[in-house]
Amino acid sequence: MPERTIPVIETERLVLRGPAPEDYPNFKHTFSSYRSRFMGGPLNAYETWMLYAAEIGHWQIRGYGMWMIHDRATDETLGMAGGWKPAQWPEAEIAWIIWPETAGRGYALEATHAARGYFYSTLGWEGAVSYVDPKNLDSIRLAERLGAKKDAEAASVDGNDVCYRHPSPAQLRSSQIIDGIEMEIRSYQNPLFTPKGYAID
Amino acid sequence: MTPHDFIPSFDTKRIHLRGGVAEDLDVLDTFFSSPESRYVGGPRPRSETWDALCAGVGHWALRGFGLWILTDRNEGKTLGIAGLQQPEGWPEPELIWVMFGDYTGQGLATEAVQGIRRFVAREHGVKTPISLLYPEYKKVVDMAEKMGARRVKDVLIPDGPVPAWRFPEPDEGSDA
Repeated sequence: MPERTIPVIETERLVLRGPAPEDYPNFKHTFSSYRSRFMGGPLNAYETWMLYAAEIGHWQIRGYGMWMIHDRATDETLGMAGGWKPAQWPEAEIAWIIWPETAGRGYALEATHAARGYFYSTLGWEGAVSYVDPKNLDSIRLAERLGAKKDAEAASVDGNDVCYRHPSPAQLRSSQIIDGIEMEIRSYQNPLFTPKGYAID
Repeated sequence: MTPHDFIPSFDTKRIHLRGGVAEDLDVLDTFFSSPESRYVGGPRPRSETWDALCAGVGHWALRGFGLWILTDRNEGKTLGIAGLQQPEGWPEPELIWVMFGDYTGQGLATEAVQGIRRFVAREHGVKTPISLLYPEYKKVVDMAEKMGARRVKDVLIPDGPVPAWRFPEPDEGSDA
């Protein structure tokens, strides 16, 4: 089965693994909910299942894809993050979705940071974008925390989304973006450093 | 990553059956954006055909069986799609097949379906699959009936009850 050939990434709090058949119920729960409104949802049961199958097939067809995010301690699934490039996408995207129950703990930041590191260092990507619905403020905030900047010149998927361009590998190396991300991730682990403000992914 | 280590490929006399790859998109889109595809889920935009291509591969991971891309054993041309599908809401695996325009009328669809019936009976234990067909799509209904499929009670899928045919157990023999 493909989840065995998909690379596994471990971070401080998370393990990213290929989507497995047994992870489907949590995916379905989120994609049938309002939470998925910026990712083409909510979807009916048939559409949700086909999308899940497509998430797995994407790995085989592109050689990269979306990981299932697991809690390292409990193994429960928290959401998905990784690379996504359907036929009509102008560029490869770093994408994420966090289950509604687990939002606000920095899991998406930790997972996308690790995924981007893998795409840059292991797959040799020169850059990446994220296509964000302009109404999806949580996602815009996450893109910005990752150091991505709105790229008004870049093509969008269908005109209803905004392209955020991630820093290139060289820009990441020569800036303090990674230090900032890692400091924020540590703040979620240590309650002494609980960030002020409202809950974000 | 090793492509398709979980999708078996096999051959019939004239056809090679394999899992889908990115390079299949153009040929699939040519067919699925044309009115010819009206009985098999089209016409539909290229983006949906991409999703279906990915889902066709992922289906194997979720169910252990799925769809193959049919290619010409000599020239490698993409002839069509066939296999078993069981998305959520399907009560059992459904045998489907689609031949692209240029490749109909040569017995290729029958050859593929007969090979697949034997393969899935042997490898997946699916011996008497159903097919959900439009009764007005005479050409395909005739083909199914010629292979022994018979109209059975309508089958309930998420769209509602739909006309169904059931295949008998396949004859012994080689996939060719």
